[in-house]
Amino acid sequence: MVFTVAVAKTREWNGRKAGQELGLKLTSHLPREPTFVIVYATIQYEKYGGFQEFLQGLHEYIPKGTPLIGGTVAAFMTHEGVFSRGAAAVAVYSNEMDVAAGCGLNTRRNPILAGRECISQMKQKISESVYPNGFLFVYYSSAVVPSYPFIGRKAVITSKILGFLSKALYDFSLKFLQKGVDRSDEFLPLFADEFHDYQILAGGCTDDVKQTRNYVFFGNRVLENAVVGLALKTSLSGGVAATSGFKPTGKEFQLTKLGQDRRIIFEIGGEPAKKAFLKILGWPEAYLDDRVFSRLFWYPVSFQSRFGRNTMQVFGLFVEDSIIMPYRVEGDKLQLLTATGKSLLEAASENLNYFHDKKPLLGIISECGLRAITLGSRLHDQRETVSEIFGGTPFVSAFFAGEAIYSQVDGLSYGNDTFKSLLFWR
Amino acid sequence: MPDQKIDAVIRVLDDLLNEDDILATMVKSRGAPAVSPPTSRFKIKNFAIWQLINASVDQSLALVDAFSNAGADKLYLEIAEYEIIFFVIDRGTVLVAVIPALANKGLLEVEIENARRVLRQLFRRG
Repeated sequence: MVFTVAVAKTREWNGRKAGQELGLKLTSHLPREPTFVIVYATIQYEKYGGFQEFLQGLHEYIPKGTPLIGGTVAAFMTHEGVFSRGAAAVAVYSNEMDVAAGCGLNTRRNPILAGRECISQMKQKISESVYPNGFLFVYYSSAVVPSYPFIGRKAVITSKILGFLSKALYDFSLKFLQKGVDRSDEFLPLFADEFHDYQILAGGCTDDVKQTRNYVFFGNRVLENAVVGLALKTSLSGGVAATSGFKPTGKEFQLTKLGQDRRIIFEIGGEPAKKAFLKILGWPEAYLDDRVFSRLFWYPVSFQSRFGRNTMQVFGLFVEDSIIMPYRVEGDKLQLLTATGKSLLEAASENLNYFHDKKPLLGIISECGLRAITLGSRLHDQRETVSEIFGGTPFVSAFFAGEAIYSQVDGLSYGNDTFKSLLFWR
Repeated sequence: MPDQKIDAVIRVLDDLLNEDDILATMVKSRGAPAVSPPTSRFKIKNFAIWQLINASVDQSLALVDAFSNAGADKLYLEIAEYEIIFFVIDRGTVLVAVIPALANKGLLEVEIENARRVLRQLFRRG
């Protein structure tokens, strides 16, 4: 069986040239046309030629019709280094592999329909495959912080009137303007159900984690509010793993009043949510400023989800006395977690050590963009560790806003602040 | 510093300036004039701050020197709406970058670190 991998990166500023460079590098390392391609690009190309030009450049080398998915990411990492500007791609040629790509639109307006549309396109093409093992990559549009008239785009809204307005506009913004949470917690379970015997790796496309816009790639199309998938059937084996470096603090949030969709927390322990949050963390209100995300990263919360694993998420927006969460909260308790810089770095080696007895052929990783923001230049230390573990094996890691994995044994795990990997071996 | 090396340093800094939130940048070695792209490429609005940095950058080198045996790697300084980051290239040289105080520092640092690695190679070559 032939399984050849090409991983390439570009540092070109111009979108068209970046696409061309990637396409040339990928195709020159493969014996034949790629069986599939996964592409990650940072948001800068929006300003330097645009993503359509970027994909156009790529398709000057990659034949049109080649299954290709991907999207915008905060940063990426390969054996060549770690970068928060540029693009990277992985292309695979295999003579014993079936591949199908799918795409669903309007994920915020109707996540179930979008998920089903994407799944059905893949299922039609791959259901008759004779190969035993299934793998699925899913990339989707992550949350976009809405911008309201008179309010703008803010993580913390203290004014009672503006807070009332933004809560009132929450549903309108989500369903009509398609801005707000990504609703991946609604469509990802569909993928896990329909591809229950597959192993899945997913990531929420983002900008520089300011969450103002993001793009998803499907063939030569640049999409917003979309979910794309790439299903593979092969005789290769593989596995998924999730780590984070976070540990429970022992502190809990008892949720006593939630919004209808279970994403808005109105009260914690009978008190207004924001007040209780500050009390439990021992924070002054002044901490809820424009830098709040850099502080919130260190204190995610988790709950036991119905899919068997803990779901970890960062606090989203502080609106008046309430808190908007990125994912629906299950149950009525949230555990407060925390980490150290060291434990964040160790999450990478801990994750890859799950596969210490394997000889991987390729590693694809979804990491939280907040890890890149928090680790900063120390991310280069992580790259060195990961490179050392992989040795000569190609890998690519991309930094998202929301990561997920699924396996039949461990179930579905989605959330923020994590390091999630999918590795292939014979 | 030979002209060829100055040009190479300027190319690295110029590339860094393409980042929206890198407002100004320079490389300063002890006893040598600062090297930077033309100030017309800078996006810093309060130019007096830049002049202040320029005038006092040698003091950052003294600090780096004092802490170099302890592994000095970076210095951070927040002034008004700016953050000034000093990345140590070697005991006598720093890479200075000015970013907005509320910038996405972590992601910018990834790229400043990439620039530092290229500059270190240039300086090691002599």
